[in-house]
Amino acid sequence: MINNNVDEKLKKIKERLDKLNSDLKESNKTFKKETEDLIYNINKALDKIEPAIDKMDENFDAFEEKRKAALQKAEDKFEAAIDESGDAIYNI
Amino acid sequence: MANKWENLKDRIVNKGSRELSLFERKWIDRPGFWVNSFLNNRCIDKQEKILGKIDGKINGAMMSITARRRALEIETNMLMKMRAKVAGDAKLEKDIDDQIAAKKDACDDEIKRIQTDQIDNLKSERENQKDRKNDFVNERNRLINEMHSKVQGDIDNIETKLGLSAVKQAELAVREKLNEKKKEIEVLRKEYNDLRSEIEELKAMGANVGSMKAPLKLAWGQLKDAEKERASVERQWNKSYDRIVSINKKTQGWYSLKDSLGLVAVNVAESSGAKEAKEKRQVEDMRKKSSPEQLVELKKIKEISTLIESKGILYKQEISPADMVALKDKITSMGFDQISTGDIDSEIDAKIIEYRNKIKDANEKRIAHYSDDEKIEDFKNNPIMKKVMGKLLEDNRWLSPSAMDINNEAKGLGYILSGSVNQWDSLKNTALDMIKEREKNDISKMDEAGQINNLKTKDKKLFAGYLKSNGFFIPDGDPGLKHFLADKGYTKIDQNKIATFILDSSKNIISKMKENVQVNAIILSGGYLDRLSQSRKKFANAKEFNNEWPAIQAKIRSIGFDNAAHPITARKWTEIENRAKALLIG
Repeated sequence: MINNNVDEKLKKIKERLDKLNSDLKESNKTFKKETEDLIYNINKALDKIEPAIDKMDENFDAFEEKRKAALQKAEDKFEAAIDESGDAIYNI
Repeated sequence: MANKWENLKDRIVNKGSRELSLFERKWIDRPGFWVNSFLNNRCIDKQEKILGKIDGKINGAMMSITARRRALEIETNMLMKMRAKVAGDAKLEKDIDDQIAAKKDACDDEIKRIQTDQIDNLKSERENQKDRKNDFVNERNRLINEMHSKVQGDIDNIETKLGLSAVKQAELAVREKLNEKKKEIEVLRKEYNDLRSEIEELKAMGANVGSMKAPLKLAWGQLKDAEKERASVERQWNKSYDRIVSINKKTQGWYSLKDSLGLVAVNVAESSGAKEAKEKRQVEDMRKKSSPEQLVELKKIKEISTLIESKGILYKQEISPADMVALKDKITSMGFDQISTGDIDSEIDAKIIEYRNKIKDANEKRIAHYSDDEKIEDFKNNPIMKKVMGKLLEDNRWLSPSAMDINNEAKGLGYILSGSVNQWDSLKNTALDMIKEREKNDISKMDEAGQINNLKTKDKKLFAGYLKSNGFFIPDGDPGLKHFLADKGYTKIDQNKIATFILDSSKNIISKMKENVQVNAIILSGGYLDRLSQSRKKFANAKEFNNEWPAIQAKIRSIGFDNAAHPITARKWTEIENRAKALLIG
């Protein structure tokens, strides 16, 4: 009776062990590849993004110069207009 | 400080922003401040004043007309009174009527002249000036929109074309996978431990568990493989994550710039009447919010906070004298040298506390919206926490750092969890994992000699930890202990050397333990007998066992038991013998 009980327990343990090994095998099969693929794709995108951001900084300077020139032009035009406005007011 | 800012303002106003640093140009000379301040304050405001002057002149002219009409009315009334007095004198009445008519004509002429020469001209000029103001506004809008489109285009390029948005999605996916894997390993490891315990129990009862040995060993190997693979992937991931953090820092400024430009761009699209007034108000508000003083202050806070964080001393109650000197030097060099001519130390101390609190508040706000799982993950990647763990490691507190210490550090960093015991346990386990991972990495880099020397230094803690976690197991060549050491990173030591070393060391450990604790001889000998039953062929019968029994007893005594301090009683010897028989007679 006792032996049968022990055998039954051992049988159940063996089944659980088999399931554990099967689960571990399945888990180990997919995890590394799937995650490494994701990381690989992230790194690939980062390889492009990092220089693009540096380039943005560089381009910003050039763009800034252009914008400054436009601003200067606007300033000249507006200052002249303001002078004209001042004259116009006094002449009225 | 005030003088410094005045100088900076002078440089911006008088020489433009070319002299300023890139940081200053990006943040101070952005359209939200510079374009609006120039065009609003200098051009548009001047134009508004001109329009105001014109309106004043128009009002003046209108008042002249009113005054002229009033004067005419008074003069006419006076003449009418005079006319009443001369009633009946036709000639005088006619003279007065002629005067009234002449005065009315003169008044009408004057009003007409004022209307034509002044009011009409002023209104025409007003229209011209209004058009000119609109030109200014349109030019300002064009510059802002151009800048906004440029920045928006650059950000779209990075987010969509180059895939930063996709990276952020993938980042979440990797985190999720690592977390899932960790939980999965925990579940499988628990199942492994349960099975192992159950098998040991059955074995202790005399059951033949030989057939369980191979699958149990296979599961152990696969479990270790799973943990190794997860750790390996996590190391790869940490490198990528650092790159993402760096990119996020770089793009932060661009996003802010885009947002402020976007706000202006939206505002300028609403161009007339109340909308125009609203725009002006909003732009003005925005300009105030991003005042250069605040930006300069922000920059300093950022630099100081980086400095404090880099030292890993943000939440420490005490800052080392060397760190304090470095901080003060840095803070002084950032322009706070003029804040006090007297007790500069106390001023700077106060500043440090102020910044520390600001950073702490910001950190708490940042973390507050995370889920508990995300807090743990964030905690794990927190550079300050890594330093704290490193410190615990250096202090040789790594086997059992106080949970309270870790909780306090975590709370100090803003990781206030839901408060459940499980979450705090998880946090502590995370901290322990971090410490162990670091230890393992450090050890695995050593050559064989280095690992042996390190093992000698660490052996007491290592074996004590192992014995504790295995119920006082006696590790004479036990494969479990070899796995335990391999798991700690001791992979380069020859197996024979390690077996000898383990045996010698474990005897010393057991001996030391006996001085301090009441050892349960049954458990200890049970452990020895378990391994004995696994390592040798079983005795055929009781007689064969009885022949060997004295040698087994001698072995149990030789590993440190049954001495004067802790004798094994006759009753216990009987229990041990019965167990040995159950295990060893096949």
